[in-house]
Amino acid sequence: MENQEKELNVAETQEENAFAGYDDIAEKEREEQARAAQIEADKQLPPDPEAILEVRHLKKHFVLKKTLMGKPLSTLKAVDDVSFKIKPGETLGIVGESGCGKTTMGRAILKLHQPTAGQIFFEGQDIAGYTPKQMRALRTKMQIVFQDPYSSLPPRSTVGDILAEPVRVHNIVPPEKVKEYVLDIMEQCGLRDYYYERYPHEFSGGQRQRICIARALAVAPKFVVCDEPVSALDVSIQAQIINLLKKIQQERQLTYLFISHDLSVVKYISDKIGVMYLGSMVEFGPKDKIFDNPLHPYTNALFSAVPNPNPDEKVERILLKGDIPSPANPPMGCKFHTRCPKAMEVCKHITPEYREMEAGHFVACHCYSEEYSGKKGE
Amino acid sequence: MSVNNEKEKEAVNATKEKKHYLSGKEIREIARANAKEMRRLEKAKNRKAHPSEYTTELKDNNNILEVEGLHSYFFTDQGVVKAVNGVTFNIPANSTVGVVGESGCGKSVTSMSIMRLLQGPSGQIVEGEIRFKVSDFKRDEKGNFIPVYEKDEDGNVIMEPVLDKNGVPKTDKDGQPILKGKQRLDEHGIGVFEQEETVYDIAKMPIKDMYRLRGRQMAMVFQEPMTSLNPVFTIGNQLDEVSLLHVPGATKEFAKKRSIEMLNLVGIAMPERVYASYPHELSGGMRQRVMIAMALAGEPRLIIADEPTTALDVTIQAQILDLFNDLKRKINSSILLITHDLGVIAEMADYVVVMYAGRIIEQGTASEIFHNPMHPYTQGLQKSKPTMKSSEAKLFNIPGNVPNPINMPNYCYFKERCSQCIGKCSGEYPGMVQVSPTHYVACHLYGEKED
Repeated sequence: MENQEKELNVAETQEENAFAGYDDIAEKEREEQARAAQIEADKQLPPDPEAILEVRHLKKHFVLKKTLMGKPLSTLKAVDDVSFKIKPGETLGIVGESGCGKTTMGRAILKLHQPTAGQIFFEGQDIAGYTPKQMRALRTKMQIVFQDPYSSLPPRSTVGDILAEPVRVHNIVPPEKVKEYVLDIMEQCGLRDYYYERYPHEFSGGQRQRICIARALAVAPKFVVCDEPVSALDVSIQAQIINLLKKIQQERQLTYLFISHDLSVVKYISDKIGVMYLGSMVEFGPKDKIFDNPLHPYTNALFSAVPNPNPDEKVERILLKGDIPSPANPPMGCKFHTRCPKAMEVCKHITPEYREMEAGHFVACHCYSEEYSGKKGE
Repeated sequence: MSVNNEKEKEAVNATKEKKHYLSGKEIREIARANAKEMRRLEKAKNRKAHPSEYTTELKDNNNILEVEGLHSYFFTDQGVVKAVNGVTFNIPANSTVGVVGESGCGKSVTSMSIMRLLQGPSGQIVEGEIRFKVSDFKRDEKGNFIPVYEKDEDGNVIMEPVLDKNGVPKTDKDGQPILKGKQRLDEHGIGVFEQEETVYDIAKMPIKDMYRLRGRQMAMVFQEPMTSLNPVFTIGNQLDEVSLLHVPGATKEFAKKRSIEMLNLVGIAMPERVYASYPHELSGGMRQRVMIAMALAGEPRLIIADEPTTALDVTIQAQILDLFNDLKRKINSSILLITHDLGVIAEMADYVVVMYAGRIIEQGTASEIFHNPMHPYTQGLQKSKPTMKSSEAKLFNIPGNVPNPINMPNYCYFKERCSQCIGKCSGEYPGMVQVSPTHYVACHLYGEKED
């Protein structure tokens, strides 16, 4: 263990000379200015007409401490500069450890959190600046299924009331047809008609999650954010809910943003996958490319950490050291360099750019930049 | 698919006809009957007993723990919940036994029963034996531990004077110094006492005698590290407690040294700093490591890990599982690993026990269970989990839910969700069928040969 570290240190000192006298703070300022200019330039671009949802440079910062004058002293960058596109009928899976900002991102897209900066194009319109009143009309098009089915249903309403409320509020069908419509939705979600009069506490976790899904579908949305919909459920029930989500997607041509920390579930349901680490997207691409050829060291480590359900096959694991750093005080340079098995000296100083390696496959890592990866070999 | 749908419909109709609510009168009747039973069991739990009353023999001396016919019930006002309903399994020495099952199948209650931590008076072990091999301290007639004395070449005990607080030898009335045998010290400077191997039936032990076993002979790693650590004491304080309570003659210095050693062992980078910090200052993975360090501090022979990685991320989970495998080699103990994640079991366990609705439905070695699952539930559980390698168009799913734990049917509990039912399934609950020397399954599909 110690010998290894010593060897690493020797290698590092050689590299370090390249960064001797390197001014981190000045470089950071320069970096930020360049990025701000890039964001300004991107703002002028028209939205992609093919995408149902396009997110550009989305940021959500929470202010932790304020000065007496109300100026922010320390901020937590929960989502820091995330961009991606989803086409209609696709499923984008977002994976990452807890605290990496995946839930915050899902909520910011639905404007359940007001984004700090960035653009969100939904069907060609930038909704980032919309007022709550303007959003209200859009709620029929975008919906969310929450993680915990035990706390996201009102305990004093019957299933019928829970499902009929959004239908009435948004005038989806004439008032006399509401019950018929709700019963139809319930049937599609695998709920029996006599559940209409029952209360949430009478149901098991799987049935409750079906109610949550039915509630999201009641307004006939086009885009649904599924925020860890199966992680609170048992394995045998998980499969039921995943199959239900897939069936409904095919019937209604839905677009999903599927947030989960369970890689095998995300692999099963998604067309495209984004890997998040400490508020940034480190890798993004089509499912097959991400799983067959993961580029970022974090993605590699994440995949190798998944337990293998074959007792005779022992896989060599890439074990990450330590915990995810606090997002309130992220490391300089590449945020992953503190745990990265392939970290170079450059990673400690310069934030890697988000570059396209193959068509649609993006990665943010210095290992794939010609400039820096060459340096390592010298 | 249509078969599944019909079956689901049938199951739903069956529950629909059943009454959903109990009247006040019925609840009172149940409560009265329960109160009588609970009082009897509580009395047995709090009685004083001589060790000979609960000393037994192991059936196979290679085992460290044998559970036989364990029944743990919860007496509620809605009726008796048979959370563990006749569970029998063994833990061989130096091996890992994994218990899998969905929530509510009784896997946690089994582990709580072994630790005798069921919350009374409603939770009780009603029947069954839990035989556990311990190395307990020998006691003299007064109940004191017997020290191991240093001996000289002739086999005589070396005597030394008894010192008072100031280090001055004590004298008796005649002015002669009082002598006592010199106790042998271990490498930490802690006195050694005589120990003997005995087998105790934990299910019959009074709760006060359990204090001797917990921590030193068996220890538990709880599911939620967030709620299992005391927020108002430092990590060091809570860790020291284990050594101070369970190592006779331990001093504070020894306890601190040992705690830091344990924190090092579980891979915490700055043990001195963690030792002085409070639980809220640590991350989830660190807290779980502290929990494991706490369980290891007494060097137990059996570690019960109840979903140790469920609350953690995959990357941290990989670290913790690696740690468990390492520690098993280092301190030579057995692990009872409880989880709902089949992947974790496959990586860790030598033997696997599959539980469903309070009973064991299948047990065998890990490769038997994973390559040749016999019970339809085990098969379904494996097929319904998407894996990193598979790419089927549709996931297999087990229809329906786990049955209500009150009023369990007397036929096979899995019948209503099973896709391979035969006529016999409406009959009695299937018994255990032996398929290979280590592989057992409780299903009528495999019972025919014996008839």
